[in-house]
Amino acid sequence: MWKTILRRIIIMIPQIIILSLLVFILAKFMPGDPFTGSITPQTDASQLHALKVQAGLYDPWYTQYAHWVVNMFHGNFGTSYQFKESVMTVIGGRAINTLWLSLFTVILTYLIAIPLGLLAGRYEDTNLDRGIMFFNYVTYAIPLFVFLVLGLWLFGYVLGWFPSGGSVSLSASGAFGNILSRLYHMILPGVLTALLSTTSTVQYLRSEIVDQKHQDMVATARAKGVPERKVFSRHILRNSLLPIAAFMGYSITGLLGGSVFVEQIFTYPGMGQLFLNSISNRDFSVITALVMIYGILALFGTLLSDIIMSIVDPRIRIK
Amino acid sequence: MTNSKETTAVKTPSNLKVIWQEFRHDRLAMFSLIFTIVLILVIFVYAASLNLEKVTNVNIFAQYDKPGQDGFILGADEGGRDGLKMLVIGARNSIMIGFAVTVISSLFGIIYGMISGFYGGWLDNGMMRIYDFINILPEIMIIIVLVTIIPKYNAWNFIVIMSCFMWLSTARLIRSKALAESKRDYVSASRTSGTNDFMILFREVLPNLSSIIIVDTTLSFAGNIGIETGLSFLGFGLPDSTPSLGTLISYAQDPDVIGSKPWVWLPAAIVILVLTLSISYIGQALRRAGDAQQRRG
Repeated sequence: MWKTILRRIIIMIPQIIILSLLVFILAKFMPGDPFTGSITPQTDASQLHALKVQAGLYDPWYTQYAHWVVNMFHGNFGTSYQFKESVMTVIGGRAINTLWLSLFTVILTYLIAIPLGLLAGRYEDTNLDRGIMFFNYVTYAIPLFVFLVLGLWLFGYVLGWFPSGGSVSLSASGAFGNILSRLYHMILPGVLTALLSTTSTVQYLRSEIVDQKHQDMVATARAKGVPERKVFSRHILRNSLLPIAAFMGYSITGLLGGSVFVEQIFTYPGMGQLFLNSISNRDFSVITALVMIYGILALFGTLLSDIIMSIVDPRIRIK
Repeated sequence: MTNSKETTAVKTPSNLKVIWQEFRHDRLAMFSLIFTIVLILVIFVYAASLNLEKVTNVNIFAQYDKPGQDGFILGADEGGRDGLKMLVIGARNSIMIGFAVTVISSLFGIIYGMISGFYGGWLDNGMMRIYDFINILPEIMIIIVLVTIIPKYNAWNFIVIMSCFMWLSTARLIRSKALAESKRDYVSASRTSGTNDFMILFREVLPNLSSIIIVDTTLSFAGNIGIETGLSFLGFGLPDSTPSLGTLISYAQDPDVIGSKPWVWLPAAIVILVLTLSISYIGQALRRAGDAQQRRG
């Protein structure tokens, strides 16, 4: 098993290199340089030129790239034009918000998807199953942003049950009140996103259970006289649920992509909103750092999933 | 009675016939099919009769007219433009972009997947590595970055950028099917008799994948409409001169508009919902028709 894991990690190294090259090329195509933000009418042109030479902006691209990568390993992504602060500080403040919202969404997704998948698989071909499959088709077909806008309008404006934006209300007092207010702000975006993220888990769990139901070991268990409930909880569930846990890493890409929409619509101050905000303010050092971070997070997510899968499912290891 | 059934079962019904049977037995699928065709026809015919410049002209006196006021059936938006006409033009643009992206990305995905799956070996390995890598990329962010840094940005650039990322699922699906097909006897038989690979791939393997391709293309059409409108909603999709359904919904980002002037954005949201839901449902019915175990007809 260690061999599989090691091989999987080695595969990741070229991926990270290509990702960084790609982001570097994109960054080079973006207009402006690290000094664009600090230019004022009083700036001396020759001094600016000297600064640029010193920063290595006239070096050949491979030197610049090496420089950029070394800085990145030190956590130095440069300075944001917009906030006049180091990029890491700017992102750090937002990352924690995105982390909480994503965690909340993932937990909700599984809380909704697992019972639905189990029920659909167990009561295959009943009206319950058909209902769940219809729900699944709807969540698959609806674009996330339309669902979010409609949900915000209905529950945030028409019914007024939930706040329409932000991550915490200003009137929240005390540590406990603060946490409650944060949770309250996460409910609507979290639930709406989670509802639409259930599709693949429900589908997978259902077909897995339907498959398992017809396996010999299940027939044997039934023949031995094991009660139906126990057949499900002990024989079928154990085999079907484990891969679901492994999917969590794969879902990171989708979650982060969705965060751009969720945070923009709910004006939730996370990384996705920061990204759009930086795009409209042409704050390219922040954009570069965010694309790189999102890419690396997705890479590690899939790495994690692949490793869990290889532990859970020995067949993958043999290859 | 059993006798007559057996004699009719001997003849394998054609693909089209099976699909027809499936739609006839699934009322909702039939309804979706007719509804989608009629809706798209109405949108295109109505949009063709409109003059884009006249429709997008700003008329400040009609700003935020309520539905029914001044003869605007669906009211007017911030610039006093007719909500219904904007909706029709936006819907036409979204459908056309979605269609173009689907054609380009599906074609590329089908060819990529067929070559990868059919040849296997190191070629397949390499192609799948590329696939894996692109799959991991934060596509929404990269599309947005590309849209902002491309000079002379227009709808065609947008179609190409979107297609760069939308072929992945098709390629994956087609690869797995082509891999299975390439091991079948008819392929080896054809190869032994001297047919070249190109002919085997496109004349013999491709027809066997046709029902999967039809299903996949239908579903990605619905998906691409969703992604295009989503990007336009954020302001990084179609350029400002070409309104999309997403552009219309983006007015809802104004807290006053979303709460108290729903006629500005709600119709566009409903059109997207109806379009994606019905096209996906057609796709699902087609999938059932292609899979004998799931058929309802």
